[in-house]
Amino acid sequence: MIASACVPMPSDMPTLEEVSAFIHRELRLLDARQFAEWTDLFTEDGIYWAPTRHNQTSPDEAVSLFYDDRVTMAARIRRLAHPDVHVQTPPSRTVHLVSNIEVAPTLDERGQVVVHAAFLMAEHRVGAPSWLAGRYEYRLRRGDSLAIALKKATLVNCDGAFNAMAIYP
Amino acid sequence: MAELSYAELRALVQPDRVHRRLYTDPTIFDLEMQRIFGTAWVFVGHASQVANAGDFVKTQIGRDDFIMTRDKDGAIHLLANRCAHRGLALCAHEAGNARYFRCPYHGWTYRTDGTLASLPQRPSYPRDLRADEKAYELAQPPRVATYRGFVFASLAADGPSLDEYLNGITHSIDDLVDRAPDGEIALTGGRSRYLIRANWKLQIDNGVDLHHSTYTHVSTLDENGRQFARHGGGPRILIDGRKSIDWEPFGVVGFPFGHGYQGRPPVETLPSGPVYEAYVARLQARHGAMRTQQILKYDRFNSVIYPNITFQAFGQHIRLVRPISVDLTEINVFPVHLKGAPAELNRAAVRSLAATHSAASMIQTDDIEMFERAQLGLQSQQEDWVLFAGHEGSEQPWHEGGWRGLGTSEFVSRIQYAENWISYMTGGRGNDRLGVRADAI
Repeated sequence: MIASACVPMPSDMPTLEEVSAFIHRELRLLDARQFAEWTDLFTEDGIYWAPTRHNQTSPDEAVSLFYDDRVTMAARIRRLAHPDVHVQTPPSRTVHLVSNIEVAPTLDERGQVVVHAAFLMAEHRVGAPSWLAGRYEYRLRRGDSLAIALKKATLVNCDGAFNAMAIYP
Repeated sequence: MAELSYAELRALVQPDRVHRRLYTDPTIFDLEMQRIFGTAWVFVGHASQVANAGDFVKTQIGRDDFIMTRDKDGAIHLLANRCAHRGLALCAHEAGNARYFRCPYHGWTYRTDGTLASLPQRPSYPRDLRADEKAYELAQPPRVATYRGFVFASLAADGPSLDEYLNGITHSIDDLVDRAPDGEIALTGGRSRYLIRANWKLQIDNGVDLHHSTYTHVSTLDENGRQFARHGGGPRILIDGRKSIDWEPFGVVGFPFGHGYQGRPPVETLPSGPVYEAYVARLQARHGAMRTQQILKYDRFNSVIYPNITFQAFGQHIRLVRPISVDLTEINVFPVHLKGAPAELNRAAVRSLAATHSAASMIQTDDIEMFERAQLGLQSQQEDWVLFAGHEGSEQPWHEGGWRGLGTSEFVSRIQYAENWISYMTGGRGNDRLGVRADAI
């Protein structure tokens, strides 16, 4: 890339502190099962994506665990509120931990803030608790507040076999 | 291995019920691996997974690992993933392309057809090493055969041919493959993998069970009682709130050797738009208008090929059942690429699998929960029997071969257990009616 094509860092680039607070809240909403509020953190064209391959660049290249646009998110969340969602009877309790948050020094080609982080999710429903771990990549847009254009959760064992999953890692 | 006598095995299966031990007893599971997966034609993969010379992909027959390869002359082989020397698992990769498989331990090296290419320290090995080196080849199933790219292997040297075995279920394979304008499918979209903490047969039972949708999948229905709005139009599962659809007219079909499929409500509106129109035009160019119309009407949901796959033209996927232990099963779901169809249509099949059949999907997860609760419930010693008594005796001969019953009939499962399962388990070849049962066990 030639230097003149680089997107300059704007003066309103969010700080690590702002980004961290945003992500901490985002994960707390998931743990609190405030799914509608969680969905509202996404842009209208926002995507939540959990691929099945490391370094997967397209949801068309191979199947995904999750590939939710806002419409699919809404269907999923409507279902989670249904009295007969068997895989959440009883509901899961989750804790999402996030660490190693890095805000990239430059914006991406669409002017979005690029954030990398590591995560761990503990889940308890029936039987023994289970854990999922992996890396998050966020693409955030800056308006009145931060909004998620893409959240990509790549699990360390993304190409492995999973027990039923009802909550977004 | 503990043995069960012929009489003990026979007592586990009644015409309308099976004993819970079929789902919970590790001894029975071991026998199934030996007598069902060890003799039946087992689906091991699709030819497109090894499209080019040297391509390989890991697969299983029962619990045993195999490498499916395409050799330099284009032939497909199933090679036991076990070095002929000390027995190491030879290949650590799930898939790839190779000229040789070299054991990392002592360097024994095999060609992609399983023959020995080199043996280090050869002079130190027995002088009576046979000239053809056969004793040092990778083990291969005695029979491997394909139908329209579906690769099956049988660990038994004798028994029905693949054509005899598949019989009428070939209509379901044709139904899927004919939707590809080029007349071929490919499994090139990766695979979704989920675990069921339950017996493998629960997934097979479910594949011919229409009725469960009303209850199991109630949380995925929209306000019109429809399960999503997938291509072809989602089926209306509930009408007027909780009043269930009448499944009976759609029927279930069963075939000898335990295969079968679920009928389905007619598609009310076919998709529209330029992508779908381009697809239809390509099909018409190959098949003509009338045959195309026939191909595009979805008259079936899941088809099951006993003992280890279910597949859907509607959902455009193939689902492979991998038994691991009596109460653990891995399922692999492959999106089906229809060769010659518009890229957009194939992309949609890859994407939609996340919502319908991944470990995180909205439909499959409720089935998984049902299977796991069945496994828990069947631990109970308070009752021994699992019932498959629905619409007993209502099935009629069907024009594709086999029989057709009412939509909520449980006759396909009855056949699977009372004719096929018991035949294999008592030393037969899966179908006593055809008189291929061996005498003794």
